[in-house]
Amino acid sequence: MRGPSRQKRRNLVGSILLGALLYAAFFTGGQGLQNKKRTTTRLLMGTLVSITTWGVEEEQERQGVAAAFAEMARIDALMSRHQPQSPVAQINAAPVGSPFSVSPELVGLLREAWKIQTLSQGAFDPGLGQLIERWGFSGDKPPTLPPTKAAMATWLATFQPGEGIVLEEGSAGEESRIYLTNPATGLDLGGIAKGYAIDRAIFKLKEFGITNALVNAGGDLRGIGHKGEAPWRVGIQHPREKARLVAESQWPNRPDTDVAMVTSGDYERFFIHDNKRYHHILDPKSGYPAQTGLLSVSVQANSATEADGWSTAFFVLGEKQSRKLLPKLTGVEVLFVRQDGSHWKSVNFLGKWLGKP
Amino acid sequence: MNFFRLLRKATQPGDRWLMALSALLLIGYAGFGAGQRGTLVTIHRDNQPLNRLALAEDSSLLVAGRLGSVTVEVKGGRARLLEYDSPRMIGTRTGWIEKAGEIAVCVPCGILIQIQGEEANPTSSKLNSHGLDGIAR
Repeated sequence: MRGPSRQKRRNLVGSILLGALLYAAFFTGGQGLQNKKRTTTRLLMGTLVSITTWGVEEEQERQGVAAAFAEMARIDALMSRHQPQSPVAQINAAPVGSPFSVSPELVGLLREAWKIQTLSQGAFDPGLGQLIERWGFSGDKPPTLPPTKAAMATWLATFQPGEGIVLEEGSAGEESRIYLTNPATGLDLGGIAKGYAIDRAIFKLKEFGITNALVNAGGDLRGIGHKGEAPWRVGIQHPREKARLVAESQWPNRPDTDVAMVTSGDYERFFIHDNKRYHHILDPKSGYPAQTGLLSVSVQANSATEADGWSTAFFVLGEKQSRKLLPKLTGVEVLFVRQDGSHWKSVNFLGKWLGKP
Repeated sequence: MNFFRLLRKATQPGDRWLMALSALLLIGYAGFGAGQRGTLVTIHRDNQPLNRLALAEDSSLLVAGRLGSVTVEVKGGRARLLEYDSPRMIGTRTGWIEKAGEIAVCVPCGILIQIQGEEANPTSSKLNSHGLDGIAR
């Protein structure tokens, strides 16, 4: 009697163990299908833009993502300096003093840019279009030489920081108009427009009922919601080695999460001339690439528009001035990576430092 | 009684083989599911699908990009972009891609290639093999 009973018990335990393994295998596979993460990628705004969603029905995802990409393309057509038909390009092409009618949307973004310009005491400037042209950072071919000293001297003698762009507000029912008053000024919203496009993409996704999404435009991101039991996880690229990370940021694992993060650094667009690095983040006061002892600045904020503008402003201001300003900015957090490889991050910056570059 | 002794007593050799196989399958899913090899490479020009090539067969395709010709090469189950005239040659420097979701792109040419397959964890960058959802740069 004892033998068969023991055998039965053994068989029972064996069956339970086998069942547990099969259940685990089934459950793991099943979860992947139910809570699918989908990523769609497009070339937009001169960069690679990807939209990742989680837990959305396929048709809803397809429509929402298509609408979000269409919205980003619309913003690019409105704000780009490089598309000849865009209002920004036409303002720049018009003779000095010639007003051009603009949409309330463009006026709104220009106001955002001016706000950051004022708070940063001119470290951010939406009037640097002519300077960027001189440096050649926005062309198809990257520059290999800095502008001549004579060209820079002419620009510096003519440019007036904080002036040169005039907004004539339209009264009720009338369009607003913008014109330039200085030949050294060129309207350039490149330091803020990509962030705005990301914000608009998120807005569109929400319109389609998509509440768990991550929009990534060339490394500038905004994420909403989460991935069920997991948070959005974003790495911050090493400023000198593309294959390494300096930090990893996990965003709160909650349905109401909404975090934007934009990084500005001296490594995305640059050239080396006479052993000196010339990058694309230009200091409006000197006309030359900002040299403030930083390799990169990552900013987290409530909107990608803000994060975009402040990452540029902080890079130009440098760490010391930026840290003085930080307490005055609600919801803005920052990570500085210094030239010596050390770092500093504000208390509420979401991210873990992974080690010295 | 430790777990392994209990396991030995409670199971027949056949059961143990089956369990070992199941465990291996689970480990395989967890370890390699995040980056499964793809089956196709799709080619897009200005965000429009242009062509697709099977990764199982070595081939190459010349595509007219905005800045000139770009070659898409498939060899040994992998694909890569070869640009002739691009300012930074980023697409070429990306090198071979083979896992589902991986991308190589020449932005000025408007050409993007992406590996297709069962995407457990779609990636746009080789850095994303850390299982991250995005890379800030």
